[in-house]
Amino acid sequence: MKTGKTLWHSFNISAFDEELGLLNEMSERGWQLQDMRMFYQKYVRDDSVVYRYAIDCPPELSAFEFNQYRTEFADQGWTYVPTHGRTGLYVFRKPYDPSLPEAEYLLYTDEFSFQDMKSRLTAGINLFGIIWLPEILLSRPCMPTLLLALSWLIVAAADFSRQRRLKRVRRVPKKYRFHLWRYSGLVASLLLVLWLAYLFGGNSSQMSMMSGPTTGTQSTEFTVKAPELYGLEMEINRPMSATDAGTMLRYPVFTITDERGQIVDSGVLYPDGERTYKFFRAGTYSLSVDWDAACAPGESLPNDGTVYSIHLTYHSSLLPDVPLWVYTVWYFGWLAVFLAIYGARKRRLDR
Amino acid sequence: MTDSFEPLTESYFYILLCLYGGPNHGYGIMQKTLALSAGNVHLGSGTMYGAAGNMIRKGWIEELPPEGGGFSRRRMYRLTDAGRDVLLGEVARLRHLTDVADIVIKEGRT
Repeated sequence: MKTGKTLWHSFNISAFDEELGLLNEMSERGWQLQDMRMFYQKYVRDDSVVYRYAIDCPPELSAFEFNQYRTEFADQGWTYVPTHGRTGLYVFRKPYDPSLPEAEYLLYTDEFSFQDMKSRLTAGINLFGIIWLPEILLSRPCMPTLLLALSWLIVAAADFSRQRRLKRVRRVPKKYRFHLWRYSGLVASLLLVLWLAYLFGGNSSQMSMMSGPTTGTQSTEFTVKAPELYGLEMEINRPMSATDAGTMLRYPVFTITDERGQIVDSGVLYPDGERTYKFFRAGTYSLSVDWDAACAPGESLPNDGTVYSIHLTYHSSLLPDVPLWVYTVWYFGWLAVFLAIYGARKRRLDR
Repeated sequence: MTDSFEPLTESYFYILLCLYGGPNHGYGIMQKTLALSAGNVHLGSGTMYGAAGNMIRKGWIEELPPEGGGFSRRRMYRLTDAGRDVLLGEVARLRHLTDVADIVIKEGRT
């Protein structure tokens, strides 16, 4: 009888409930999660227990804070399942008892905190380039961002191969063993590229949208010309006052959906606005704000006629009307600079 | 919008309420919330952890240093003066709402 199983599957944040359902279903079938990586999940056979799983994405934790965090969850019966996939996900589980209420198996028991966690999850995932590589590869080819992704892959592969070679010849100087800083340098340089492009040549556009009373759901469309990292800023044009608070009981939720109706980003729209940095594929997107997200279905918040408007500003490093070869030179130029610095340091260390 | 007038979510309200009587830790707050709400309000661990972090940042609650110094694996929280004001402000707001609702409902009956 098989005691282990590998499922080639990537956790899809936009289908959060379905993903949790998969983990729970596997547990009911006797397969318990052992590890979750970016592209696969490992299970071990154990028919003696059925677990309910939960996923969390806390703010960044130090080792000490992580211990406190884990202990506080353990008080509620949650066991931490260590994963090694740099997915930004923290997996917990607890044995399932059908006699207990379903709320016992939820980490997030209100919509506000759940959306807050999902915002962190999305932000965390967008931060690490490696996570959005599949997104880019699935998107339209021949785009500058594809080149950026490829350059990342080339350097990562070169580094990996070099580590293997050093291990083979049993010559692994200490200075090479901890090489996180090198990736940090790479990521920092790529961010610098995006930042410089944003500062000196960025395409930014502002549009006014969504004016009206703060109730119901309002939406607008925006178009992304090519796959790029867009910074979206949604700002409420007027700060709320104590009087307005009556119409803004709890916070509205924004959702960005693509042409197929798939949710690509969502989060809480705070009173002082919200910024989200997202890697968008080319296409038309719909941004909607649900002012009554905190209400029961069909209900709405009391409205005293206060009118708000939201400005949506997007920034992109993509310049309009610039041929592809310019981007190619731009990105690979930076890559060459990085490799030159990296190579010089390597030679100095090898000496 | 000032913090002291910010309408609270049910979770935030119960957390502040549970700390009104004295310091408590996360699990204690979750249990007390369940008891105060007659089993109707469950605070999930994630909701509790996130809310505690947010309220510490806002200055509504503070983390107590571990007894006897050193490190503790459970964080103890205490209500601050600002948190007490927020809670009492919210209670007054809710009381006003129910008072107004009572008047309207009574008028509707007569």
